[in-house]
Amino acid sequence: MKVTPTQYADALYEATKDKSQEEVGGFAANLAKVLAHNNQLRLKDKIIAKFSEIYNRENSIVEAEVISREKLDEEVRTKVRTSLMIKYGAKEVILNNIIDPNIKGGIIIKVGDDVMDGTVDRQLAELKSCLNH
Amino acid sequence: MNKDYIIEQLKKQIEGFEVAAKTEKVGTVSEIGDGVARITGLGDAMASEMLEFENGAVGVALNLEEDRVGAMVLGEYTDIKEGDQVKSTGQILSVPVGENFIGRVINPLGKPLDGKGDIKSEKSYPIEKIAPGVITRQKVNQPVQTGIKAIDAMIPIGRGQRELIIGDRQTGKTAVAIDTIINQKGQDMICIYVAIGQKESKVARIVSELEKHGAMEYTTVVLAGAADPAPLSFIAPYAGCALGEYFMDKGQDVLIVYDDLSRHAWSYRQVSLILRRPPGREAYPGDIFYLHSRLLERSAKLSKDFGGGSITALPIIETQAGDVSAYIPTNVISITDGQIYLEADLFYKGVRPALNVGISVSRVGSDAQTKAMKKVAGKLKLDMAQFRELEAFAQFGSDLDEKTKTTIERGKRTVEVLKQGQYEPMAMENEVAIIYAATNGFLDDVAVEKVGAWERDFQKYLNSSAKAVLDLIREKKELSKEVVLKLEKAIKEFKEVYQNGN
Repeated sequence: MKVTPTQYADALYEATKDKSQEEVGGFAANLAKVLAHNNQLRLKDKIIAKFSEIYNRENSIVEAEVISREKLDEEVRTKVRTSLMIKYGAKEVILNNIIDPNIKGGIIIKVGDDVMDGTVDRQLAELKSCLNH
Repeated sequence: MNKDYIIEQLKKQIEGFEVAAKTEKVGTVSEIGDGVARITGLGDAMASEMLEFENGAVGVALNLEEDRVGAMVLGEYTDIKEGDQVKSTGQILSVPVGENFIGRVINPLGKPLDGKGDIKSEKSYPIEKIAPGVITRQKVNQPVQTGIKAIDAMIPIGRGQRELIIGDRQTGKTAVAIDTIINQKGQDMICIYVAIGQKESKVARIVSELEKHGAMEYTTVVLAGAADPAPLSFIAPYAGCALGEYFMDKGQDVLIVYDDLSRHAWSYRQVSLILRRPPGREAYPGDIFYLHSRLLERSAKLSKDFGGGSITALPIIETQAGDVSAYIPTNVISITDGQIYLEADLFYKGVRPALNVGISVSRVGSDAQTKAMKKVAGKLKLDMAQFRELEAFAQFGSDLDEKTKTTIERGKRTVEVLKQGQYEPMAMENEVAIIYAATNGFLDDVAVEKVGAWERDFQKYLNSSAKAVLDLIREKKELSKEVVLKLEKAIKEFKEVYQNGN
């Protein structure tokens, strides 16, 4: 049976949970050997992505992508962080700020599949469709 | 309309406009082609949930896999690119329904195709709905008058029944269905004609024919043309059924024609294969039976407590070279409450409608038949059965004994009487009168080739000079002694006039 990246990542997380730094290194090497043996080394990127997803979920860490017109200052960052902490019940929020001048103003916050779009661009688009009807 | 007023209105609209930033679930298109998209993300999409693509096209999530979603695109998919965002809507695919759809030609998503402007609707119905349960149903007890003598007499259809029309290409399947729709005028019936993968020219012809006969006043045409993508053909019958359910829930009677379900199966096969679902017999996916059974099961006759509405379904299946034992025909035959077989041989012999009355059946309709029709139909069936048995001897002519000869002669005339032109549906009382005349030997002295003309004149005579008899049959709905006497008198009078005239 084929083992999927999710299963690998799950197993890796289970094995490395509550283990010290040195031990983890051994597990990673073992996993690499298993992958090589199963001819599935090309899955490594997917496994890494899945693993970080699982790790974040289990440790209530939220990784958010914040798109804004200009670089966010510390005040806004803190605001976004606290609101996301409340929304997702997370202990820690990692913000990843991306600059995109096309959005005209406001911000887009992306967490996993969720998108919160509070940009001027979208509001204009909605106003347009509202006036069209 | 002055300028200030317009500006004032605009200002008001803009002032009242508010957008709240809301959380949306999005995914990314990772593969697109042939009307099917594969989307990563969209972690909590539901089965058959509506999705929204960036270009405004609507999709339906069909395959929910471990880390991606397979969705079919309803409509234009050529300008969807890899990497496009897809929003989930949290709604099951539904179509707008309402009174305003009557008399219109629409696509399966409820958009008008007849250029008569937008259609306003207040409600929308999900296209997939679980069929009414046992408690809500009632047995079929009201007839659907098709206006076709052979069907009304021998293969009666009741309101809430599912009667399959099956036959090769060019045997008049659609003609039977269209005649039935035309005959529903004044019968308190809403008709829905669902064209699945049909040529647009054919549908245009049908619509103009319906308009000519005043049938568009109570008919909706749902069209997924041959040029439309397969997903639209796939949802067309469900959309038509959803519209029908709206009227059924209001207590009205609905007649739906699905033309045709073989094409529907083809379109579903295409979508399934592109979604990489495993192919089974004839490359159809495993749930092809359920595809049709869940659709046809939605036809029902509801009991009084639930409004008393009904949906009668006339699915059409096209066979290849008369092969009714192919996969899809056998499936649909087993789902429906009877079938009307149309045969190419009969069609070329000039028996039109080309009904094979020997193998056509209706499993529940006889309960719904009017008493008058039941009475004449019993004799008719017997005559036809005896005729079929002896038909082979017909060539020997003079060598037969008297009794066989009369049976054959009677049979020949009965076959003539059951012939009927297209777009010439007949009222129940006229059908009863002519069948009574045929089965009681009033036609035995008319030459076989003259039966057609005789009947036409007879109907004319009835409609003008003997209207009282027709009214009596229509009101009483049974052939009591008194009615029979009057009917026989009318027939005899006509025969006298007719023979003197010639």
